[in-house]
Amino acid sequence: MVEPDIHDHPIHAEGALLPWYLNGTLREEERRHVDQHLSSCAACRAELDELAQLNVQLHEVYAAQSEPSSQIQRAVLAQVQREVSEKGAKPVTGSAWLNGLDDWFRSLFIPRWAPALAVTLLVAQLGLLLWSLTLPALSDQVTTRGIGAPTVRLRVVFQETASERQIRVLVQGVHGRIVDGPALDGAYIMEVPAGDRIATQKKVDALRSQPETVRTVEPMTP
Amino acid sequence: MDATHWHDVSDPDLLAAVAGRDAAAFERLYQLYEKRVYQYVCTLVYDPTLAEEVVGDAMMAVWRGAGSFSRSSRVSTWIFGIARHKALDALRRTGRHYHDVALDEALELPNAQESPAESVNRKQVTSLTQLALQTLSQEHQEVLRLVFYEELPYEEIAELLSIPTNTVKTRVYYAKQRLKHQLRQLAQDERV
Repeated sequence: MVEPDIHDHPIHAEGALLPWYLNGTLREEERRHVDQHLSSCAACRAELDELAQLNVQLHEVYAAQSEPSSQIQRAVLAQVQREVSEKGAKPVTGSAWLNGLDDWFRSLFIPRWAPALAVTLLVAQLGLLLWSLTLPALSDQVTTRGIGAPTVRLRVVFQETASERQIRVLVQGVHGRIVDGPALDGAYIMEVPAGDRIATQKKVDALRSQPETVRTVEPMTP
Repeated sequence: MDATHWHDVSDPDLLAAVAGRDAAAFERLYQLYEKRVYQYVCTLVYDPTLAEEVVGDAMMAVWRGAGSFSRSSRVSTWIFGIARHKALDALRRTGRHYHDVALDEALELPNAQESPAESVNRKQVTSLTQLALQTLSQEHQEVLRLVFYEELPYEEIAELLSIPTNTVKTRVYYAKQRLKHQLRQLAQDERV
């Protein structure tokens, strides 16, 4: 749309500001300038009177206009409550696209098909349980994982004050690993590569040389 | 904390609370703006049902985007800006148009000697003004509402409508002239 510029029309520049003089939003400097102009311009004073009269009429019209239905308010406020419940009451700051990204990620975890998926998983789990009941009973024998090469087992009790890191370093130092425990007395079973009897004794001695970590070490008889 | 707690809080502080995910603050903001946004949107889309849909979309956008309000304008300007975008999107989506002002119809010269309101009573004046408003273009109705009812500064109207400030002044001037002309015409028809 192209409208003629206000300066092309035979009204004063101050007259063009009168609607905002009336609604009280002119800057102080502009307002004083319009005040000065009005004191010497009858045409603009008449224009201001006319605008004031129109202003009253328009307010009456706008105040009497229809309102939206209460349904829209209920729907919007319910949606807001849902979002508060889903996201918690933490402040959301940042740009709109970040909020949009956040919404998108959250939607991945709150898919509309979640209830259907949950039912499917429950049915699958039930099927798996029934199928497992038809399998022959497994042996009660408990086995431990081997480390491939021949190994020897040591029964180790660590100091109560030993840290997890100290124990890990110690175990790695003898190329061993914990394969069982703790027993009621706090003992662990450690498996170390089997060499000859002297090599095994060196590992036992190495462990015993760390009394701040190891309380007792005993080779287990095969 | 319910919406009544926020009754004496300024709009910018209310919006800051909304940015902090305060649902009660949003409810208060909604109460303050629902009717105003709805009526403003009605001047753009001319369809009460579509206007309600736009209000819902706009107010949800206010809820979700409150953190992006920069305080460089009034809260009302910011909210009307969102509503305006949503309304224009809705018009595009439904294949309707936002009508331009016919320039030749806007070029009525002012006549300060006549006052059509003088010859009819107050109720009739309101009724006539309503009728006269409806004959104006959407753009003229829009600026008149923003100036006289929403009482926005011309700089913020320019920002809201994405037009130069001089165009805002011109548009308001011609809108007022057109309204005055229509009022005079309707008053004459009443007398006849």
